[in-house]
Amino acid sequence: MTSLAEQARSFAATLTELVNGTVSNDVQFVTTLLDDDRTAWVAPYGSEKVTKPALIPLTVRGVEPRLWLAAQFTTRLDDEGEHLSVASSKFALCVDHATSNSLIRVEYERGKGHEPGGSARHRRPAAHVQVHGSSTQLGHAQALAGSRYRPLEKLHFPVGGRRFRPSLEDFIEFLYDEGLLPATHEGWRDVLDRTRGDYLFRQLRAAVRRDGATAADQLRTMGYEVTPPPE
Amino acid sequence: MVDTISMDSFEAELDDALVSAHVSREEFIERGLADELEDEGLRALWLIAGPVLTSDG
Repeated sequence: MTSLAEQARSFAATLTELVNGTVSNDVQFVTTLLDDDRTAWVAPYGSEKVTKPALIPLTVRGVEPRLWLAAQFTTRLDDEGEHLSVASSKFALCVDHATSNSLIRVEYERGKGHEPGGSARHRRPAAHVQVHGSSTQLGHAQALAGSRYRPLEKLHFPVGGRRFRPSLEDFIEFLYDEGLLPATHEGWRDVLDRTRGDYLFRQLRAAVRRDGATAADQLRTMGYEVTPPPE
Repeated sequence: MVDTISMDSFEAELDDALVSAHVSREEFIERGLADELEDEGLRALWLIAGPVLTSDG
């Protein structure tokens, strides 16, 4: 398998293809490698600093953008040192370029959450959605439950866990379906389906690597002959 | 396109951002590990820096 830098660069190229084929123009995702060779950040070109990733304008025909997409990924190689793994990520629909304030954000921290194999209890699921808004019903429910008031954006809605969390493709599709995208490129869904297919393929392979016994059991029930590797 | 950044430069960037947010690095790590960073900007920063600072992920 190739190095962290090469795999992260390939990931950046896929993101570039996705964004330029769906919701924006002339965006280039780039890779910044930390000199410990263990961490690589993937973010849009134009970021002033690693710690301040650039936003992606949501416009496809030269119209002045009014909404922006945030997309940042911190990557590493997996425990075997072979495959690219996202250690943490965020994507969001931003309503203010200056502050990067968002309406909705999807966050992921690989080491967090409550999944089997985790080493600690955490307050947030590894993958979660936060919505910045208000809900009268939420306040009512919290009062009925005897809980203190917490605004909607403080809630972390779990979404799929480590392996089956939403992809950037899912988020873009959500924005389109809910009328939150100003415009899209012609043929955008074909681009999205192609890159999402690759993502789901990689996630499934990662899930199999992490639980080969269950994968082998399932294949046997389907009539495959599966031979375990030598010890 | 692959750029490289040194750990020293990264830490300097991080410390600049934390100074702007009026948070010490120790508090940042402590609250990040405890899932107590609620501010959106600090959360975004944690998602970038947390795996490096904690060797997590």
